[in-house]
Amino acid sequence: MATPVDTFVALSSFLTGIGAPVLAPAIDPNEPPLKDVFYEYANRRAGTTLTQLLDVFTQNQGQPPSVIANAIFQNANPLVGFLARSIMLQWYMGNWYEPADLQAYSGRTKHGPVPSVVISDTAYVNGWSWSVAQAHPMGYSNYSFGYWASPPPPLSAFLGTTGKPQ
Amino acid sequence: MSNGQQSYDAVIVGAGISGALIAKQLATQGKKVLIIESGASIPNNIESYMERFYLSSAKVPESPYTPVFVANQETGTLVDPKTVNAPRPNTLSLNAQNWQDPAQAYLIQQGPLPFSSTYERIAGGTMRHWLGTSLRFCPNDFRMKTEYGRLVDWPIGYDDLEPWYGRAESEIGVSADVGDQEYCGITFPKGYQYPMPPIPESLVDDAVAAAASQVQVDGITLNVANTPAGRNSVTGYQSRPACAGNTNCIPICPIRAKYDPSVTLADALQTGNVTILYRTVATHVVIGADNQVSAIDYVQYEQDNGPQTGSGSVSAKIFVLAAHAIETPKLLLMSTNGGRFPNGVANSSGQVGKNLMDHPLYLAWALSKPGSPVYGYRGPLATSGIEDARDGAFRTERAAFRIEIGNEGWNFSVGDPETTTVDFIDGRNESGLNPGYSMLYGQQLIDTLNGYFTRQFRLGFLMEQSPDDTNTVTLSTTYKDHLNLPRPEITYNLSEYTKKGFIAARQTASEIFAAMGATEYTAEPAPDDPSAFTVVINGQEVRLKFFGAGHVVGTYRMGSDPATSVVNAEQRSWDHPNLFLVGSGVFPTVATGNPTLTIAALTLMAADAMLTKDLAGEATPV
Repeated sequence: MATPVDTFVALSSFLTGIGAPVLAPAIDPNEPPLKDVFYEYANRRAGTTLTQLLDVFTQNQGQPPSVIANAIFQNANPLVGFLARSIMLQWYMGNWYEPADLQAYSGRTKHGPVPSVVISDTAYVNGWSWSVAQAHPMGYSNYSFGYWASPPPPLSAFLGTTGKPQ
Repeated sequence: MSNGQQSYDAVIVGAGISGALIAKQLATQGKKVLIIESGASIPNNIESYMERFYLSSAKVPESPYTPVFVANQETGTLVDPKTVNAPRPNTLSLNAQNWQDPAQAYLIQQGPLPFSSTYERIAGGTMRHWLGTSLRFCPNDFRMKTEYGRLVDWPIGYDDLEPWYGRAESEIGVSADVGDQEYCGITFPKGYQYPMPPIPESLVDDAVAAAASQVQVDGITLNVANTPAGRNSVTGYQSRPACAGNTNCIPICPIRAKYDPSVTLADALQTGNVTILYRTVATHVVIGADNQVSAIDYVQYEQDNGPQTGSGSVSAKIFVLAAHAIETPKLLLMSTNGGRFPNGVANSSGQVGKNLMDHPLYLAWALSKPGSPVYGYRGPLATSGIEDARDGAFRTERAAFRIEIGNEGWNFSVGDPETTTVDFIDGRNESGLNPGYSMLYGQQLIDTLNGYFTRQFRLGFLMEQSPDDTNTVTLSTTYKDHLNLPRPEITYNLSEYTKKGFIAARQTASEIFAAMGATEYTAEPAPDDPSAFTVVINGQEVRLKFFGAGHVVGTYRMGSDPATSVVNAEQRSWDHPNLFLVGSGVFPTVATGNPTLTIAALTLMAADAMLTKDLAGEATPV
């Protein structure tokens, strides 16, 4: 039976578009693994809504992606959808954005950066936005001198061989 | 009271690039040197700096360094400067809410525009977060009045400074090729070579270069030139590794491939002739009956927000103020000597604190042609620029500029990749890339973000600002820091000469983008953004934003006339012969080149005067 963290990973993969084995590899170089860090962070900050979100996702497993997305983002409790956005941003930026802040700042009315905090140094340097840019986190690179004079590897090399959502 | 009755040849206030260079020059010649540094020492490793950087919500240039200035990362509330012993300005204190709030901003800004550059008060100084750009000034930068009837001349020319530029390039460790740098009349001695070969150009540079030559500014054809960099292109120079392109020169290079003054400071300390007092703030320059400086008084603290823990006074043969262009005039103005110098020391000209300048920066950004990605967020923050328009006959009418090509996508311009990521996840449009307010997930999110991130780039125009005696640093009579010292009060504006440069910059950016087939996204400043001004272009009112370049310049300028300048060409006070004032405060004009290399060259020149005149023949070299 899937644990809540397993469901969290499957949900994260659905939302981010990044394969679950890449988001949360069996042998995770990060200790503790980010799936646990992010799950626990979300659970601490929005536990009730997280349970509801995971339930909605589980109940809709096997449905077409648009049906799953609709169940999440058009949920009667709008914070379910905004928590899904918070989780996407955990993976993409390594930051925590409160679902209520994302709700308040969504759309045309409110300008300026949405308040956020960096979850950890590991969360920052593993942010997937950098990989989607075919680059590396600013301030953390495993490349060597002069790499910038040549094009980067293809996007698939940054997102892993299972770059499609599962 | 003296510092343990120790006798020093020189006392230096400030352990940044200028203080470190003078300490090293003097100490290697056997002179005894004391450095008074207002902030903390350099840590043994940079892990604490890196950790603070990683965990900062806003990764501004000051974010790795101390004292900590963000009280709450989530709300962005800043630490009240009155609770800090050696506070300094920071980028977050410049926004609409903070810039004139003394509980959030250290500088007491009187406007009408905000002075938008910041500095550090820490061993290593503001150069801890420099970019590494090591350009020489152009010959005409030193003779603006003579050549163009504008601004003022320097008391020295390019040829006077040229040998010192070479020595500064060696000390810093500059990577460049002479052939790339011979523009605007800049010359090199026959056979001269930079210490290291140039840093390779980025794909962004290549894309701009292919189009820039189709653009002319006032009849000058633009060419992209490799930027001389104080970053290693080979492993080993000064024991540093080659740059690995962490794209983080500002605020901090994680592998220390970039020079910073800790290198020179370590050399100075290794002589055994240099003592540093950290967390020690100079409070008074004491003038003796002979009009020479007799001592510098100081106070000390142990914790950034703790009580004062000590005080003292130190004497020496010569005194050097190297506390940058805001803290140095502050100290001079504070030193009234019980009313003997009501306008402060070294100030018979009345020029101390005047002519505050920056390179107000015009930022323009765009997406490259669809299907032609430029792959930003890779390599050093900048590897090339356009230097041809740094000089020309147009300087009779408007400010010159250099163009820096950014390798960090839209990080500087809109705060990406974060802003665009949030836009497409949360249905916002702060980046300008999501006018439909789409809310995406899954593969469509990846494809959309990848399509934009790989095409983002920007141009930064470093604008020559005219020296205006109405742009001033004075002492606040109301606001103090935690040591009860007055905080700097700033009055600042941009002249018509400078604003006309912005109009030319805006047009030039748009022409370069058009020649590239790129789509420009440069945004109008927000209505409440204080760092903006209105100009009229083709009969239309246009509001333009400017950024600080981090280049704090002017305030104790050099000159050939004691009536209109604070120091002479040796950077020696006209009023007090054993007092030297060094750093970018001595620049009579700011020109367009990033100031660090010129600071270093001038400082080496001043150290030579100290050694050959003031301290000649008294000790043996080590």
